[in-house]
Amino acid sequence: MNDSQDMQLQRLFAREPLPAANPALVAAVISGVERQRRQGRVVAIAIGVCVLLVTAALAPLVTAYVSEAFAALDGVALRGAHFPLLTTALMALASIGAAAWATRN
Amino acid sequence: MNFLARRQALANVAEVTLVALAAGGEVEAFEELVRRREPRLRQFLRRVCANTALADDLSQQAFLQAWMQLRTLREPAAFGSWLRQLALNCALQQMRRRTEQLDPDAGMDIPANDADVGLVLDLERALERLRPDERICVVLCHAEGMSHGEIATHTGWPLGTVKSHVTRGSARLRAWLDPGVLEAP
Repeated sequence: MNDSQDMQLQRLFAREPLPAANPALVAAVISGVERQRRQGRVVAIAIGVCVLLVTAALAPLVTAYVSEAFAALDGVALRGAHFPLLTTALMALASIGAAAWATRN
Repeated sequence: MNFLARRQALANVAEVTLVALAAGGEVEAFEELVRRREPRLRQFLRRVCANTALADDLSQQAFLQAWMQLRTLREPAAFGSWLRQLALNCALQQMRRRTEQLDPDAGMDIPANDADVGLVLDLERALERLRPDERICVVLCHAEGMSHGEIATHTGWPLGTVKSHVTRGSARLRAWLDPGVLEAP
């Protein structure tokens, strides 16, 4: 097949008119998009809640572990009466961050 | 801004901006993209599948995939070719799944413009008679202007296979088409 024959086929394809616009297809696509968004939101909220629950469950354990670890170090300035509270606050911040990350979409 | 005014405003926005807005989660911007792109995408898939109903289903599937993966598109200006690649992947997956013959009654719509009816029916009939893999290579080469190397990349088929599909498919298409249709200006 030579170039002019190729050109003939290319011109033939180029001459073919576009199909008429199909508003029903546009509507079907958008309804599919909306459905996906709804499902995505439900899944994201579920993941966020799970992350929060797991983090909340782990927070006391981590607090106790870190407190013990610091208690073993004599003379560390960070250790004080408010230290467990500080650790819990950090864990809460981490859990909020994790939940925000899980639900970012 | 009410719905109609917003839709009117989006109709005048450049595609690159629409892609950026849609990637940020704006459904109205994506709807405008679908409205602009669907005739061209359906034509591409009708040629590739030679089946109107299947092409419309695959168009819908490709647009939904585009919505889900829009954040991964690094270059908004390449939206058209990226969307075509998604559509081609859908068609290739469908082709692999389908073992049965296409429904012979599922012909293509005749366009509203009477002057184009003869041309379209001849081209459609000829495309329908090609083997699916040959049809894909011929459409990508002659209708989409891709090189053999690009077709091999997009389909994942070996370059030699693509070359032989294009050569054989083009020769068959020419043999089946009315010479008057081929040589018309």
